[in-house]
Amino acid sequence: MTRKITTMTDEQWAELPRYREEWYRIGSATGPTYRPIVQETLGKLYGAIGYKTPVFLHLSSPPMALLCFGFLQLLRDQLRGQLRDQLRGQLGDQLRGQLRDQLRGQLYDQLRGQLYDQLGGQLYDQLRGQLYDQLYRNFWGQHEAWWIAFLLWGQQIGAHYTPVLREQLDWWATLARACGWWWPYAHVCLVSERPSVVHTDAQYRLHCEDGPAMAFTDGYGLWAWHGVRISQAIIEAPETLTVERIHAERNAERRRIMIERWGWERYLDVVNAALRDVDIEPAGSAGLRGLYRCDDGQQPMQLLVCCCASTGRTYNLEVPPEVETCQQAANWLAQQDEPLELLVRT
Amino acid sequence: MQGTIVNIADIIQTGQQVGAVRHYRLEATEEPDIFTVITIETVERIQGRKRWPLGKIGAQQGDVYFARLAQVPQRAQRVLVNDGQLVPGHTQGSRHCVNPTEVRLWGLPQATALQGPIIEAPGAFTVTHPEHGHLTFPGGVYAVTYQREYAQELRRIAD
Repeated sequence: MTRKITTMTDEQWAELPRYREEWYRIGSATGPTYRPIVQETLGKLYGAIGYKTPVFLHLSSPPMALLCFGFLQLLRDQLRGQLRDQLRGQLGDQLRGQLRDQLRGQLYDQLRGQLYDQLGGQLYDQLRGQLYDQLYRNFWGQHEAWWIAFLLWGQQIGAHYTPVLREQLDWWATLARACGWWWPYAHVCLVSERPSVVHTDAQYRLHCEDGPAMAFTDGYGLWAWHGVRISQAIIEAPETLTVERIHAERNAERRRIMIERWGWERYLDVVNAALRDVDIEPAGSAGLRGLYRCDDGQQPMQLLVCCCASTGRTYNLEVPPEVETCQQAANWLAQQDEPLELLVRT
Repeated sequence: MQGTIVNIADIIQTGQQVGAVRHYRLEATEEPDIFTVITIETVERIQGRKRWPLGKIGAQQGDVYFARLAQVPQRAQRVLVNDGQLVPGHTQGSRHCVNPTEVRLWGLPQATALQGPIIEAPGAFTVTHPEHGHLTFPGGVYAVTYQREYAQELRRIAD
């Protein structure tokens, strides 16, 4: 008889952000795999579905594991019997549906967004573009910490799992803490190291301004700007960009990032952007601000160019094409329908 | 103005007084909704008395906005933020901080990406930022919101 959890205490609500952060750290952790622990735990999982402990091959990164997979395919027998589906079925539906929807939003969905969509998902997308069809036959180790955290939290607030399920959940939690992606086969298990570097912005999107946002010890890496994957050159050598290359980029998001890296001021100057409106900031230190419009041949772009008096730094904030004045742009940025009347701005 | 081309440098060169971290203080007055704005420099300088109606954004610190509220919304839940950062995150970047001993922070259960915490302060408290400058508010309840990003909005529409 399962008891559905429908409430949480104030203390539990207060604890939740800390718990979520702790699991985010596990899911985004860097550093070497704890091999003995991983092998022991995977051995137990294999045992649970009636298989002997396999031979473990530890690889430096997911693409290296896929390369290794390619070689093993030449020795076909080694890869007979992929076990992913069987292992998945073990925990599966028995644990789902016991926790309230509200908790899903606060814990499951948020961590899933941060770990599954951002870290694991970006890595998956990049690899998928590189001819591998074996990607889906694996588990994501630390990058699947979101559902493990969710089920463990349920246990912490009183959801009842059978002793067998509890034990298996602990194995998955151990793997999330100890390793990266892994590929289970009947006789062989390929285990990738975790990344050596992970950088994100404040919103947990992959982001690094001067190097790879995710990198492995063998040099494999992802370069990203606020969650958008872009080439190494745009991050590490933006001075090599040209207006022609920027305009040749058809993806609007990537084009914006290229302009940002190259420099908005320079760009507005080169494309002869038109000044649509100019005014004086009504609050804080009176500084000029201007609304610029440029047509790069693909779609019009508009920017509010303003200066932060404290830092002396110029901000180029993009606003929708329908905005007509600096004041409207400021309202749009603050999500206000009525004119923004600030007492103070710093 | 449409079609006028001016040198972008004319706009950019107007930034004044680079360097020292600025500090503004808002003081409640006896009249409801009226605040005194004070710039704290070597000598305090009173900038004037201004109206800040309830429910409206009245202060901005970089890409973070503050709206005045009458009270903490009923459905809000207490949140514990150990380091007092108003923008969640663990890396470099935005560092808008409150002193957790001066305020209580609340969160809305279904907060959007642009809704930050709600600050409840029994007395005056300061939101610090090492670059934009510091803001001191009188006691009260304030809702924090974040600046919109057009690229993000486009992505949301595309999804």
